[in-house]
Amino acid sequence: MNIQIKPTLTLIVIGASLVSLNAVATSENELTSYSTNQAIVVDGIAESQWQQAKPLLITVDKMPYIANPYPGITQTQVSIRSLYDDQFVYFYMEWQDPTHSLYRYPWIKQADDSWKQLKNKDQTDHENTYYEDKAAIFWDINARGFSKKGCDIACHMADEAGMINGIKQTSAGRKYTRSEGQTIDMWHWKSVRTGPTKQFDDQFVDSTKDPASNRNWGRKGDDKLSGGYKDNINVDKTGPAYGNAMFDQQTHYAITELIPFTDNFKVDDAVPGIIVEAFTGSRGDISAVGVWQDGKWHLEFKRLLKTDGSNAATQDVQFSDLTQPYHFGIAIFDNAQINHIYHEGVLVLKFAK
Amino acid sequence: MNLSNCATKLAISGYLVSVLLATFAAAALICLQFSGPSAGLPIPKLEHLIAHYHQSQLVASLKGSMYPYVADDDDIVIIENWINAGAADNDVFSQQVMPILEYDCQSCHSPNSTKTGAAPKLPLSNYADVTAFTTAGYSWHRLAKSAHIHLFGIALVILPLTLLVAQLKLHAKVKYSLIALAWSALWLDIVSWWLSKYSVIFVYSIIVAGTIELTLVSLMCFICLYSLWFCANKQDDNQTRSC
Repeated sequence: MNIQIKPTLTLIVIGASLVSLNAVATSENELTSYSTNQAIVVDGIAESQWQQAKPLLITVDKMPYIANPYPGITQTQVSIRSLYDDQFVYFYMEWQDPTHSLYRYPWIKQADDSWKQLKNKDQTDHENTYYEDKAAIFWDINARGFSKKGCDIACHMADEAGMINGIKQTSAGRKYTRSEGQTIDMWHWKSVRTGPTKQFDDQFVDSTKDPASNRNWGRKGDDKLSGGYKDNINVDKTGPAYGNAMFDQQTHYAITELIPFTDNFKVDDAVPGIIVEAFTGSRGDISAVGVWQDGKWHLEFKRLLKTDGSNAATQDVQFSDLTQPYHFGIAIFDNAQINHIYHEGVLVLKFAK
Repeated sequence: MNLSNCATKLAISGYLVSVLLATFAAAALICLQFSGPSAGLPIPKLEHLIAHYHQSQLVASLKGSMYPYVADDDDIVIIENWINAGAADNDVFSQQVMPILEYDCQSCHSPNSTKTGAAPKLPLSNYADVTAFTTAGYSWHRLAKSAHIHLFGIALVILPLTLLVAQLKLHAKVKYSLIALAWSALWLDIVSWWLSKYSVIFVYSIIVAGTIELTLVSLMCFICLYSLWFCANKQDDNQTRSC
């Protein structure tokens, strides 16, 4: 009898193991958001309640193009956790980045008392040296193919003639969806431009395929009432327009108060190259605090489960049915304007009861 | 050759174990290649095998290794129908096929692409580029290349293996069957590659022949190893202990 039972048991064990392996494989791209009734303070620090949220670990190691120069990282691992309550969904994201990059187009005083803005563009006229660290999350709203391919469906690279959609481009690529009415919610955290205002730049991608309609093609900002960022440059474009304090990596890497520029600086002193003000309206829907420490970014952020702007349905993913999966993708920008590291395929957010 | 010699046994065992590992690796490769990208166990799918051997390289890729990059299955159907209708440079190509390739393929399949995983030497930028991959099954060039490599390579594996089996104390019918089947399966497999261009039936014979090949090679390795180390006479045992 034993002789008959043993093979049967063995088969059952092997079968169960294979089934469990299969189950593990299907959940490797899944992020679970856990319900919490504790208050979450968005401060970039993982308080105890985050320990209950299992992280999704994603390696980002793909790049859209080889930039020259590009001294940034070419791969890192992103850890992301999620919690939710009655009103908000919260995320805590971490990734290794050995450089704390906030030196975005700074103005430098020259020996002849003139000012020069540091830039070192790559072959596509995009910056990878004097820029900022960023992170982006794409959420599917209704874009065809996103639930299978992820962000890649919106990525369109220039062909051998430098053309995208038949239009000559210097840029390596552009973003747009396939057809009118298809949109993607784009949460774009920018350490210099939105870091000081403790927000993401809440944007979206639609099907605009022509720079004549929109300079950034399908990539657009959500509706805003006020706020935003703009270059800190005077009317003559010869120096900064605002700022009377030197650039400081910890506290003064963007102009947040409009104090007129007074040139009391020494040679080689630096002044921030960007003016920032908090967004109001849909574009400022996402609150965030990013902390760089010991070679790692810690980014904590939250958004209302359901937003209510006039164009919320087309500009924002709505977490209105917590039984449904929500498809998304992540990209990390290491001091780069458009070059980023990403993962293939799609990630899925599910809400646990 | 004296198979009871300990050093000879070790040498032959090394060869047999290597062949076994190579066979498992080949099986794993087939599973991974034809299972598709869906999460879970890599079990080969008949649809992918048919696409690979019987349909165009473009459709086979879209259903196989490139499937994760295709936005929607309906897009594959559009391309498949266009190829089945003759792959003409017509409105269907410019208005339906090309937009799909632009959205799903060209960011990598472009001569200047430096995207991670790009295939700049396999562009899909225009009609000429695309029709290089619309012939059913393997091209004659690819068939000839694959066939001679596989025949030479696998023959070099099967010859020593079947010679070893010929030396074993097995029932004559078993011995002849193993040897004859091993060679026949190889020939059937390769011939079916050629014929599968014309009929899907030969995709099934590829599956049967391939399965027989892998099974027989593994089986012969196990039988040889077992016979070498566990069916020796007393004199052999003494020699084995001494080494």
